[in-house]
Amino acid sequence: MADVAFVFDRSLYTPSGVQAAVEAYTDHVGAIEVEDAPEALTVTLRDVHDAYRDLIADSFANHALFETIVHVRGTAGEGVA
Amino acid sequence: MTDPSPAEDLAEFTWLGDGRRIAFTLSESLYPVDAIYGAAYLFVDRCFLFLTRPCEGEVEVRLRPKEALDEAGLETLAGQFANELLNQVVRLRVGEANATIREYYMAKAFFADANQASIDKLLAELDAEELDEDPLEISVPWEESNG
Repeated sequence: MADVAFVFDRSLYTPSGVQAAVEAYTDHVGAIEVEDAPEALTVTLRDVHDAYRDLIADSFANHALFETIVHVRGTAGEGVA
Repeated sequence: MTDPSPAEDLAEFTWLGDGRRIAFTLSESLYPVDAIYGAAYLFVDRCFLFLTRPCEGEVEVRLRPKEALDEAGLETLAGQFANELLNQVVRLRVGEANATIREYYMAKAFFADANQASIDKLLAELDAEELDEDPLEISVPWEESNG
């Protein structure tokens, strides 16, 4: 078992996108910790199975990016009169 | 200091690879984040992507294909991503350039009633036509006219 940490820059990832990935992967790892800072969100996946470490880590990051893009595009029209 | 060779001049888009993944740094002045998102969205089913910000105004894109690729495959992937980036930048610029006229047409379509008036006029013309006249007897069944 291993831990994997990501630093998601707030200018590139929305908190809602990262949070969606956290919710989606909660059942697949031992625990997920999120450290909220002004510049970035640091996410640590605890007790990731060694055999699936790269796959789960990459999939988690992909999910966060996908949700971020969906969120950004969904809110792109907000504020238009 | 020596002048760069023509080949170095052309090496605008460089990428790093470790045999499994590729990474390249993009300047936001050339590739806005929205364009990077657009390209990433189209590659998210083929690759694992991760974005970082090495410094202000730059974005690093890391790609790992979901299916194992050799060196040539990785190079092709980098080229395809670079092409898609340019495509997304153009789409973004065209969208920005046409934003005003697009909004104008939308406003016209939703709030103007000129089209409705012309449709009503056409319907009124149809109603006013003498549909009873049938000099060619088109409405008469063949049996009646020839039987």
